[in-house]
Amino acid sequence: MIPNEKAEDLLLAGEYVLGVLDGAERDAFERRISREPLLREHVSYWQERFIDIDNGVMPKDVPPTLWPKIESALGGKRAATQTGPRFSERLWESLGFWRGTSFAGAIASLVLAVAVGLLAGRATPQPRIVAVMLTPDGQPGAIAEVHYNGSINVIPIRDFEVPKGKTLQVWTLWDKEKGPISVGLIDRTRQALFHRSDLPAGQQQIYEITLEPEGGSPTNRPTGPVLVKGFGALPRL
Amino acid sequence: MSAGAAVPSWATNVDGNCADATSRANALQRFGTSCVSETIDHSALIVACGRGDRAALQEIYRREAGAMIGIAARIVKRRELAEEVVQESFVAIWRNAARFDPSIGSGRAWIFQIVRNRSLNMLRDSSREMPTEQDVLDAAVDADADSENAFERLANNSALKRCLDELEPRRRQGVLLAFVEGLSHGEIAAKLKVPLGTTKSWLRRSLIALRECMA
Repeated sequence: MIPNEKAEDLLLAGEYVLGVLDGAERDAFERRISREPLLREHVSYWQERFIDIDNGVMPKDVPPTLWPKIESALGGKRAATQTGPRFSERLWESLGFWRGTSFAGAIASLVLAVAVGLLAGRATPQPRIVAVMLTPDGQPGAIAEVHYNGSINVIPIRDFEVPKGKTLQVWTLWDKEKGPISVGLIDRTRQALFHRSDLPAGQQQIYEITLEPEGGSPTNRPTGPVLVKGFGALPRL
Repeated sequence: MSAGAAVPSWATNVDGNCADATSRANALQRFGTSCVSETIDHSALIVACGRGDRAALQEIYRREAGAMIGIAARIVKRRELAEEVVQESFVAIWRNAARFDPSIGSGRAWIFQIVRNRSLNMLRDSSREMPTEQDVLDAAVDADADSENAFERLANNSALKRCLDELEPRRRQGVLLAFVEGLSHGEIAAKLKVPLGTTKSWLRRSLIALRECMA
């Protein structure tokens, strides 16, 4: 039998993690956490169990303005691994590699896209599947790299016109019965990273980008024109 | 700053080959090896933040900002507020990192707790305007904001899922409304149409049942 006081603290910790303690209770509890290691363990007990729910959360598209806001809120020097000047330095370093290469269009684009992921300083691991998405006239328009951890990196390689009130929406289709499933939204032509460990990734799985109303397709199915479309393939790394 | 110093402290002990700019460039030409392994855990990154390593914070951001916005959005319901919560959370992570004790709990849970606390603060901050009806409608159509949906999305092998499943449905709903959507005792009572005191004791008994079930 757990002694009463301990049982009470464990419940209190559970209520704290659930978020139902009111402001004053929560403040008082947090003051206790800072001096009582046992209480910290109780909190951790519940956090480690409830984290399963957070692991299932659908990650949202991260606006590119967010990190600069954080940096300016923190002040001081910038990160050592920033994407600013380092990006161009690395691009420069890589130019030697590109000289003399003579791949055909789509293949070069594919390799370039993989390299862009690495060069951008995002320390991207090897993708599991890469899809080159083509425009209706057969030009490479965007690349999707699908990683083992479920992240999907979508990199446009041409400019898409996104009128006001519209957004780009990325879809994937692996099961005709299920139909296309939304991967996420991109508000304008730019790289976007989605965390979708809930989605399969396979060869011959279709990836496409459509133009949809702001906020995404109201029907959760593509309604707008298909801008680019392509099949997943194994990258030869 | 020399090229070598640009390598984050938490990266060097993972892949020594990444320790200088030349081998980084070589790594690029091999097309694949990244210098920052996905396997470095969040605790190590937080500890590095505590030492003043801004790159470690950026790595947390790269990995978790999307999920953090998702968690905050379920509580505050509005996208721009969720982003504000996440911005504040990163400042809080940075300022509190030195006090993080990796021996007590996982770094990821610590990060998500900060997001949840900041979200609750924002939600309960009465000086803020309430969400408009349209926002609420938007949130309602966002399936992920639905706490039942969060339950459905739990991995099948999750002990939490199995044990929540054993709870009486309305009690389970109470637990999920609290954790997922940040509802207070009073709000849960109103939603489930039970007295406030009953709500409180339901939640406590649910916690006891969950603990017994997950033991």
